[in-house]
Amino acid sequence: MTDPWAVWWRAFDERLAEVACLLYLTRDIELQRAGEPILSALYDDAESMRLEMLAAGRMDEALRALGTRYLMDAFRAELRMYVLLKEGDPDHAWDQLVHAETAYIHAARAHRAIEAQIAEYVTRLARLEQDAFPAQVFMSAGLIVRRQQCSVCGGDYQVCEHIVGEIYDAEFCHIRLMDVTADHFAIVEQPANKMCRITHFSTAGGKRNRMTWAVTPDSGNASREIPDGAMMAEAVMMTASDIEGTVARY
Amino acid sequence: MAITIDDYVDVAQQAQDLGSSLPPGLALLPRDFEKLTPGADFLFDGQATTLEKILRGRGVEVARLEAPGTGTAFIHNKSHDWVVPVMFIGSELLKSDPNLVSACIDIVKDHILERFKGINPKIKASIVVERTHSKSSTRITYEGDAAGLGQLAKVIRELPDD
Repeated sequence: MTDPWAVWWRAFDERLAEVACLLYLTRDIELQRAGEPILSALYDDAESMRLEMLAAGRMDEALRALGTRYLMDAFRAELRMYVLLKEGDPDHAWDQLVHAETAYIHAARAHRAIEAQIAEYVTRLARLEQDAFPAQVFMSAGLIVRRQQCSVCGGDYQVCEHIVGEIYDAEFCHIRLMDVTADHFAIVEQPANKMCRITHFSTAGGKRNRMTWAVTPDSGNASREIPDGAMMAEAVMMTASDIEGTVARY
Repeated sequence: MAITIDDYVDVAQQAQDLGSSLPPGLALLPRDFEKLTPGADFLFDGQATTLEKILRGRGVEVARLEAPGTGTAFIHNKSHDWVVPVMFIGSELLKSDPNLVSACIDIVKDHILERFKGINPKIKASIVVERTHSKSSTRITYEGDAAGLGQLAKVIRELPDD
């Protein structure tokens, strides 16, 4: 009898090869746009297989499917990054780069076989971050939290047995922060979220975009008095991303 | 890597002044514990609960210093710096288990190295050790990477007692 995992994996690999070759800046933008829904379908497929293997008690395969799901998320974000760069939107391209980097880390942590498989992609993104984008000034929010909910059991993280970052039932545990108030914001070298960064600063004639270096009129600050020697800055302080990888900035 | 050593408040006395009392075993202290005044909220670094879980999971008795009134909250910093909540080790506990500090530091180090594989976060850790006779305390603060945490245990081992 043929193993359903082996059959699925072979078919998955063939479909993936069709889009993995698009993960280069030089590839045609229309082909890259067409590749995005294929990666979304592969993402859903990996999630279905994760659940199927979990139900069958095949934990190693379930973990590999979890890693593959994150890998599809990373590929999709990387593909979007190239499209956004070509569309002249480096700010949102940066968000997708960060999303891809984070998803690659999760993919590697989910299963050792994937860790070995993606070293090349991780290195390439690290080089892109360093060479294609200017250095960024990162922000970090300090939040006072009165309730911490565990994503695995839905209970109070203080009393449940799960540990954040560990894998349970082929899914990472994380903490949902609830009843939250902002305490402070700080400039940091190593943010948890590289999407949180200074995007603009005040300059003669308006505000300068740190990514494009273009100056645009600053209608929002026109009525504010800026003391001598001071600088106004705009920054992304927090972000939220949904399962489709769409990023909302705050 | 940087390690600083400074005198700290009498922890049992300060806990009592705040209307609280030290738990048996290793105690996690709230942020700015030495400056807190009665009635203030106890604010713990966001990793406090995780630290308690990983230490307990390895057989270490640990508890947070409980706030008597308004309650406990956590401060989560959205950076990759891993702030280890302030750990207090009483003189009796240290005498009965001299290897406790090294064991705890190793547990924290292993956890961080595994959890943040490929990220190399900056670690900030403070450990407060009580002196045997005077009951005053010494605070040892570490800032550096996870691999260097072993140095912290060495410094604590070599601290003179009174």
